[in-house]
Amino acid sequence: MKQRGPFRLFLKQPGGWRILAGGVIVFLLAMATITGSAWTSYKSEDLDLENLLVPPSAGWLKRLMTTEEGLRVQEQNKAGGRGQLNHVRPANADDEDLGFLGNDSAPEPAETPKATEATGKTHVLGTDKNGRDMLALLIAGARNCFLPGLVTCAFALGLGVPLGLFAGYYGGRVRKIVGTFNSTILSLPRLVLILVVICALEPNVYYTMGVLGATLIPRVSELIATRVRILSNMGFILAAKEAALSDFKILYRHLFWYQNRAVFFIQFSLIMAESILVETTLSYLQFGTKPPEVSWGNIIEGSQMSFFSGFYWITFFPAVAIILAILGFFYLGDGLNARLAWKEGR
Amino acid sequence: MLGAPLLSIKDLSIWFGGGGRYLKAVNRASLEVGRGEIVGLIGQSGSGKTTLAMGLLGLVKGYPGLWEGQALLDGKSLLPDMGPLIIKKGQDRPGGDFQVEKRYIPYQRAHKRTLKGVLGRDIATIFQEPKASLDPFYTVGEHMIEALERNLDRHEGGAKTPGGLKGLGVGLLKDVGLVDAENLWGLHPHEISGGMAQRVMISMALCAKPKLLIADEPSTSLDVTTQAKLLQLFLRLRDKHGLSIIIISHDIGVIQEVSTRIYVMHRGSVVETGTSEHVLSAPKHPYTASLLDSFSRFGEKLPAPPTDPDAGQGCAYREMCAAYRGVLNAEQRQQCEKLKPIGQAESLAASGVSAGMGDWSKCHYRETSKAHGPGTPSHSHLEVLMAKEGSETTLVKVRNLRKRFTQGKRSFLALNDISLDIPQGSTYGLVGESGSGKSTLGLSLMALQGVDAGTIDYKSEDILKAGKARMLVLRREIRMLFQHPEGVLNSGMTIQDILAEGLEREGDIAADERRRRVSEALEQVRLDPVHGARYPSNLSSGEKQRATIARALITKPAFLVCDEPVASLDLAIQSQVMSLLKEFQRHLGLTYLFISHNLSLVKILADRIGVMYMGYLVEEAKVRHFTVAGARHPYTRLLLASTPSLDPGIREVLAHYPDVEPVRLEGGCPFRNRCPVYLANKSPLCETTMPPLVDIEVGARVACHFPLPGG
Repeated sequence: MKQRGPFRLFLKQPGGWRILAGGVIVFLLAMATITGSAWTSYKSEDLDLENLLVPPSAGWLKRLMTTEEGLRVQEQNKAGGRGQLNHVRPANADDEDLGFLGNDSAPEPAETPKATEATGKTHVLGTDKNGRDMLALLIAGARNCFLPGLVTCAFALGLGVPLGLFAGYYGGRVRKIVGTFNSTILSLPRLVLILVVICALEPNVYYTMGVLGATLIPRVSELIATRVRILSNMGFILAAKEAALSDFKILYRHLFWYQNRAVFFIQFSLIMAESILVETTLSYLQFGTKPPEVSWGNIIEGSQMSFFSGFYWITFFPAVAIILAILGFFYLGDGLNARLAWKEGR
Repeated sequence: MLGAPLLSIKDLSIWFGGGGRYLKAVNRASLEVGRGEIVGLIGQSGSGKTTLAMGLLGLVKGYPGLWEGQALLDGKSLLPDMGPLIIKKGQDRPGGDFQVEKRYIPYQRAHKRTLKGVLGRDIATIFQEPKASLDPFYTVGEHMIEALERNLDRHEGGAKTPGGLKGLGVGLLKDVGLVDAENLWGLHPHEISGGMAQRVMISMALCAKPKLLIADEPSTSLDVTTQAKLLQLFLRLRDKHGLSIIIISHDIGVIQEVSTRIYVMHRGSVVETGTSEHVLSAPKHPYTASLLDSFSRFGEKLPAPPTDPDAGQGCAYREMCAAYRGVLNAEQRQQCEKLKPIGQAESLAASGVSAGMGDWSKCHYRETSKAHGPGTPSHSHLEVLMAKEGSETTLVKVRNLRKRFTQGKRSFLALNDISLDIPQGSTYGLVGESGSGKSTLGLSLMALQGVDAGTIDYKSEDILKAGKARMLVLRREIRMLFQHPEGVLNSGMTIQDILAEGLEREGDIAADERRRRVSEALEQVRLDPVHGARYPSNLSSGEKQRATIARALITKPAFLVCDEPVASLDLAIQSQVMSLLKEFQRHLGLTYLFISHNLSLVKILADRIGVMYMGYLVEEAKVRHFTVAGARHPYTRLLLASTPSLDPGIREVLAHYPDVEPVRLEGGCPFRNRCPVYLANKSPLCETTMPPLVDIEVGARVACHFPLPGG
């Protein structure tokens, strides 16, 4: 038999591909959050007014999904025509507000791309109609959904898991108190709650995500409590008491880590994905991240009208980013679960 | 036997699987069941015995994919006629991978069509867990009515019988010994005992007036006394209704008690068939001999049966064969080394004799008995006993232990003034039916269960008064073995992690040292240290129980509470675990409290035995006191007589006992409703006063007003 390297072996094991795919995406998101500013020479708030609506510089990206009109514009760009905006603005979108800055400051005619090349800077994923670099926007957007997502998880899992463990393990009055708390939270309409918080406090995405996390506590704690209730009757809890383990160790090690970590990973990935979805949705509806702060949702909101006019990249990249990020978290959680189940022989 | 057999299985193979890949679970087995005959099917778990009987009826989890062979019930085929199988790849032996060219979904459909009108009508089945087999939301009556409605045509008069369906149902329930059927009618499964539930299952099966009853491990989850009554019931049903019964069990005792013929299975093949007397007194196959010897040669290291009998050259069983090592001459031995013994199917083809009947064994020299000599314990148990006497220091002293449980309005005493001494280095056996309070006592000794009154002295220190910090130290010296190793080992932890947990209380131990201690403990219980990195689900049940023993031993305890440590294991594995325990006692000087419902098992290990009934200690004496003749308390005698055996005298003893359920009687002797002595003389003393536990002879205490004469 052919000798397989450890990496190939890992991929062959259950969940291997899913962990790899999800892990790469989540890793990229995390790195974009931490070191994203080093990935591009532009900042998301930089307005490169000489290069408005520049298509992606990579050739294969240029050809991708470009309409005829878009091609024509790109040709003109190459030829060094006048300000593109005049040429490409679709007739029916004349009165539309194409962007937060679009009508306020009339763009100067762009210089020829040659000037850009002279400075040694290129827009790998192009620019939007305000001349902001798309890559920088995506990275800023990643940061603005990854960190709030972590806040959601911190609330939902950080409170939900201990509450569930206590309720399931101690039962009786503890379970009643937790149950009442959970049903109280469940009785509040989530969207209204988020809107109220946005209206009452300053519109900060972290507040919104904190509220979202709080509304997810019942889901996590009920799930954990039900599992723990069943597990508490099993022999190993009695055996752990017999082995003179403290309650904390029984709860943390036996009931949480070794029995519920798969649930934890899955819930983490689901909540991350859900929070990205809620964040982008709210931003798209202009309730979440407000310009000039960048979110994938508000990039799409600001650019959707130009999608069919050939400027696909402004809408396309954030949309792909949203889908990939959500899929990435799903794959990671699912893969980890499959792998743990396989290792433990479940 | 008269006429054609009722069920005749010829050359049957069963494959599991789907999608082109199959596993052979039963390998060309033949079996015949005559009318009014009880046939036993015995083998270890995984030997294919359940698959053979239940798979035929499509009742096995993971519906079997394919069958080959013939199965006739009363001359009618139970299998669809779909032509022969075409095996493309893989070797023709069980456990091998197969690629079979046949579309199994149409096959399954055809099988279900064939079984329609047979399953639950001509063939009825009962299962191992009677309570789990009953719907918790249905009352007993609703269960009965459901079964009756389906089979009304089999009853004369049908629903027009006086009393209607209920009358019919109550009659059937009384038939199986449920005297109180009217009251039982409205109860839900959780309100009745396991033995009663099994009887309800049987009477549901009888609703169809079946010809054949298949009982899959019918008594495994029941108490010994309940089991004995159930087996008597099987005999009665056969005599009264002419019912044929197949009993599937891993317990040779159960099988020998009732069945007239025995089929021994190993790894999917039938290795020996014959009448009970022949098979049990002079086994013709080494594997049968090893099954019989599991306990009589206790303490010796037995060679394990081959995992794949069809691999390699020659007879795979020769290592464990008494004849091969003994009476066979060199020429005959060569035959064993070179040739595989032929299986049932070939044997049938060659001799033309109906292989399902008659005495037959998968062996070259099937006339030679493979029985080992009478079991000679490798060390004299008595000698050890003698040595212990005189120099006894009491390690654990229990005085007047009392515990009351309250369930809603009802409350009962689980422990009633229990006092006992456990000498250092000895084994105290505690025996009783479920609900007798023996596990409560075990948990109390671990201080895992609070008690209401009494003292437990361990090395003259009261455990119950020990502080929390002291208890943590004590729990390293007093460890416990539990009944279900599956539950005790956290499924998410590796064996290594589980064992290392015991070392935590010893303060900081270097990682090297910890690893060394863990592998040392694993080696102690004969587990390869490689197992340390595995998860519990990757171990067999015997390995799991050994891991729990290692888990206890790693803290170097002095006292071990063993709560039914082998009850969930196969007989052969039970024997392994028991030898290990015995060995540790000898080498490490451990003291055991051995709790079990099985008196014959306790007798192997214990020096003293205490018998508990409904929270009372009713008899306590040295182990040699515990024989059917020697026992002084009627309950002890019942327990001893309930152990399956072929002795007709013992069956006679059993006949004196009324067939009633154990009830918690308030006031007086709790056993009186089952006691032949009380039922004979109706003494008012038994009704009013609980007899005290008094010394009746040297070293024997009995709690009975009218103790039986000792033998």
